[in-house]
Amino acid sequence: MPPILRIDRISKRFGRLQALADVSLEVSAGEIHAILGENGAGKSTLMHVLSGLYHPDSGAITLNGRTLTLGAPLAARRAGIGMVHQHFTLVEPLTVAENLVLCSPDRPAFRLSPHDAVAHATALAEQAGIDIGDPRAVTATLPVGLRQRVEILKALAGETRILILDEPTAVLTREEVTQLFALLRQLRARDRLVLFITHKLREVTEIADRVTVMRHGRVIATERLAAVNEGQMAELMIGRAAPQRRPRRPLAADAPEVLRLDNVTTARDGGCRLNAVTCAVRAGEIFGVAGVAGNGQQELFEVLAGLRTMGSGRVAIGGTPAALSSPDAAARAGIGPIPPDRHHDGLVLPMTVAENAVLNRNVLAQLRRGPWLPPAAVHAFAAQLVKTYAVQTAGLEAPVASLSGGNQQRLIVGRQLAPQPRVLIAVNPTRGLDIAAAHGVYDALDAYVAGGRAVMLISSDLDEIVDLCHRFAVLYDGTLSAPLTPPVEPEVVGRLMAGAAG
Amino acid sequence: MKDLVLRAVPSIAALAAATAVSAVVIAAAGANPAHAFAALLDGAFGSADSLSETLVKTCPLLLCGLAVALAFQTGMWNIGAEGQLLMGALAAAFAGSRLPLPGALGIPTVMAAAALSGAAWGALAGTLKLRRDVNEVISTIMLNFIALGIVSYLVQGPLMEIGGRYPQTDAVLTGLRLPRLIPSLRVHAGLPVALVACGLLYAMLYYTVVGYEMRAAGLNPIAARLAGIPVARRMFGAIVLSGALAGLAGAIEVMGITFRLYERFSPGYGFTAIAVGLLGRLTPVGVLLAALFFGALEAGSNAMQRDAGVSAVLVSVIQATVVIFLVAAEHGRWLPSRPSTAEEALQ
Amino acid sequence: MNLLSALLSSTVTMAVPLLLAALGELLAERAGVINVGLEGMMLTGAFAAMVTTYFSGSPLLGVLAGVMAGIVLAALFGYTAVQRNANQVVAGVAVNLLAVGLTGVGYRAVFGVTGAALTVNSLKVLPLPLLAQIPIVGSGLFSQTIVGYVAFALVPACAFLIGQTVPGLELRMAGENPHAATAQGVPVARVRLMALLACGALAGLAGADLAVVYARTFVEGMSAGRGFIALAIVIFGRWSPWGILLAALLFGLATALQFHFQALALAIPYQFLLMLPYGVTLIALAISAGRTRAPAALGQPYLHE
Repeated sequence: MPPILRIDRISKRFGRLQALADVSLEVSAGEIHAILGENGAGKSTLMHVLSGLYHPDSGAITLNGRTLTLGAPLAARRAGIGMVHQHFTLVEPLTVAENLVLCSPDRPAFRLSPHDAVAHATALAEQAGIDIGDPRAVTATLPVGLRQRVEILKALAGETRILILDEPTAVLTREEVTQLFALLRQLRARDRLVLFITHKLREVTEIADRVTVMRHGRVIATERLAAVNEGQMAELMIGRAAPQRRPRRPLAADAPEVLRLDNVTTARDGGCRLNAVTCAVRAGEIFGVAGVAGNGQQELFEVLAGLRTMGSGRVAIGGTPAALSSPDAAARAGIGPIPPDRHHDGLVLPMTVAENAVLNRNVLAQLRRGPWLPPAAVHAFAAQLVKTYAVQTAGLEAPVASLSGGNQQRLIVGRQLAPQPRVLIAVNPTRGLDIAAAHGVYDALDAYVAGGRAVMLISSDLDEIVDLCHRFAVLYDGTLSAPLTPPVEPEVVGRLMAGAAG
Repeated sequence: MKDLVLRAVPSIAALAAATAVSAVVIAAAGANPAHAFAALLDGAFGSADSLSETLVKTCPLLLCGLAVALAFQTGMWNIGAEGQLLMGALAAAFAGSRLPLPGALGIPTVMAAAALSGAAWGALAGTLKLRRDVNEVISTIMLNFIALGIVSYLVQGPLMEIGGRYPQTDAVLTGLRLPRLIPSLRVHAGLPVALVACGLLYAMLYYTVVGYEMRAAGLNPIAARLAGIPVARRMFGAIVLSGALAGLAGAIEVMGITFRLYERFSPGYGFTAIAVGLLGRLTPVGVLLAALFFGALEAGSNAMQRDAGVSAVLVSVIQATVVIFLVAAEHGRWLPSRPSTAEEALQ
Repeated sequence: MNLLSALLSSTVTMAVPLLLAALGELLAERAGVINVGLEGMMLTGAFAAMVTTYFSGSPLLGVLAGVMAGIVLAALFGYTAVQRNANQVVAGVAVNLLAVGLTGVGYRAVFGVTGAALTVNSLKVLPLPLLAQIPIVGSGLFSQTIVGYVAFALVPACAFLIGQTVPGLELRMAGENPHAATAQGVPVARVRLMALLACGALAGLAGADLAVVYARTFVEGMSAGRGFIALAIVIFGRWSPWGILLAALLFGLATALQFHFQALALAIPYQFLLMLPYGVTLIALAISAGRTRAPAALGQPYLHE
């Protein structure tokens, strides 16, 4: 099949981050093409460029020989490109039919009886050959798999030749995945081109004809599935793990367990369900939890921080069972959380640096005199923190929003370390930080465990994990692998991260 | 210091805008703006009497403004200060006309009763919000009307004065009335009470753990929760305390000025307090200044009407312009952006 | 039976302005905007209508003036709450304050400080042939002014607009999920502004009805909280035009009962009747918690990129 889509040397930069660098790709009609890579590989960015949401800095895209106007969603739509995003664009309280009305080019101008809407939706579904069930159903009542089909139908409305799916199986059950794949094969039979973003190896082998592996904004390779095996794909995906740069303090052989999780399981509620997560972290250890984001990291953090209740399982700290019923209880049990999103759950942006420096139950308990919180004590504490962790700020009374990301993170790390929790749970602590700031965080973590405490580092940056941790396990779809001790074959890790049989 | 000045800029700009708009409205009404403003200033500050009136009007505005500021800072949209004030006034009128205690003991007791009454009214909305996720904007507005109805019923019925000539309660016993600060003027002991409340609130918000937690909960309930702050409890506490302050405002009006409760007892203090709170940027010091400003407006407005022929109601235009300007100018970034759901608080 | 007829008549008279304002608020809220300034828009409409009728002698012109006044205030509110993305509740409160001030100043400026209230011509009552002859209900339901008929006609009209048209679909999308709506190409800001202007028009019309039909004069603050009652009616009527009609009639009845109080000789103090709607709304809200069927994005500022 002659290629119909040509992506030619597309580059895109966001501030300091080179999201896409010289990406080129050729795809044909009647093909299911997988885009495989870790977080931050650039897969979504590339697809957003293709669907017109982003305007690339350089490069061109041609479709059937014609140049596509870039950075214009409407142009992409008219050129026949439809994208199904991770976050559905359906309005839940409305019916399926109502959600489909606006997407087609021949929609009515004014009058729209429910009967018409249903007829319209039914015609659309028949034309595309997709079964969406009863168009009169309220969207909120539909199972996720069906909702996704409606989204797909929406994307296919009109003369769509290219369908892009962004991590479509993230929210589906196994059975729904099978149905989705059947649908995709159908589309392929009708000469559509399906671009399928994923980080799951198993699915690539199951459904794709060809695969493009991306890493750090570049295309590493494009291969036919027949020509490559899972191990090779895994290695391409994560590259060679960086050689260990940091000397690691050896763990005492008899170091006691500080944190233990036994069969921790959470309820299924739309996110990722933790499934019998078991691990133990010893004193003086930095224990890593690797994996692509969306595989249960958020849920694991929430359980340990007291924000989410476990369905079953036990957590013990220092040998004693801990009831993590609230963040307050977790703090008292000895857990110090470093949250994944500093603006959203780590800082109160309108407040000052000093006020943010004490945003921690244990710190407040330390500084308070009865009901009083003496500003002098807060000040002294904040000053000490700023000095120790080299937080660059115009002053303690400056709004914390004026600090750079790196300095904000330093502040948070310092604050959470100050009350000396027994175990620190850090999630992506160096996200968005430059090298210097990141190393500052690493130094702080290293120094921390020297005192017999422990750190659980949950990160989607594999290099960071391999570099810093004594041991680590891989979290995939809510299941935690057995611990590995670096150095580890990159192929092994890649497979674990992409869900292949370990 | 510079930071304080920077924070005051939007308020000052809002005042400037309000002055300009009012001048236009006055001119359109056929009067002379300069003349009107002069009369206004004179009525507010021109004599001992005027000054006294300004302070008299400032008292309830200060207390209600503090109530609004505290609630808003903690993320609770308390539009019910008016109703809470009425419930406080009710308690004060009832207890104040019957309590057989000497002043030194009686006055604080009556005030406490009023504060409790207002607090309970606030607690109603708080409970509805945190247990049943009822939007507190709507519930407090509903409760305002219910309070009005209760007052109306009581002053025309069970609590109507002995002798039953007018629909008002019995007079507060002379021993329980708030003494005048200066014999010939109306300004009364409610003023120091309000000032003390202002100081206490300031101390609470900026010097105590609870105050810190309330502020954090209002600005980022999610981060606050992660930090171990009991967000829902603080929000509830805020609206209860808010109700208490408004109830206290009702008490001092009854015990210091009107000595009775009747319908149309409040010229909308609870609503003006919203403008006061916003103009004062939700801080106690700011609220104090804003309350003085609006108190001066209320006091001077009668003079403005009398001497320059401009309706006293113009102050509403000034208030409105101030609020609109403040709220539109900054995309409301320094305000919590919407009534936070119980979910966020209870997560 | 005369009493019943009179009661029905009063109920409908009381209900009309409430119905109009509530329908306007319905449009705004279905689009996702909570308009607390409804009261102020009614008041301004009443003032504009009265002044225009007084000087022109034409009540119809007055009604139109009322509608225009409501639209103007709604435009100001829309600019603040939608364009500038300000806190909707506070902006609404400001609108009320503005209205009180402008109408108060305006009234005295135009008429001076007179003692007696000035009366204006009222709209003619247009009894429907035959229907108005029906005993008991005839004079109550089928003997209205044009505004009354418009109010009732608007109920099915709104139901149709919201449920059976494309603009109505866009309205609902904007109110339930503005992000998804934008992704589907709905111009959320524009939809909300239009809804607000319609709301202002209806609120102004309600005010005009108060001034020109009901009271035949203007008194400062004459809206007397009806705008807030309309807010409660929208909730109580579960954001549906027919539910709102029923709720408006209920509230109208509660208000009308005051006037026939003596004749009815009820044992309940009339204030309780007045408070009843608010109390019932609170209870209804408390009970249906979690199942609240308010538009999901109601009251949330949406940053229009």
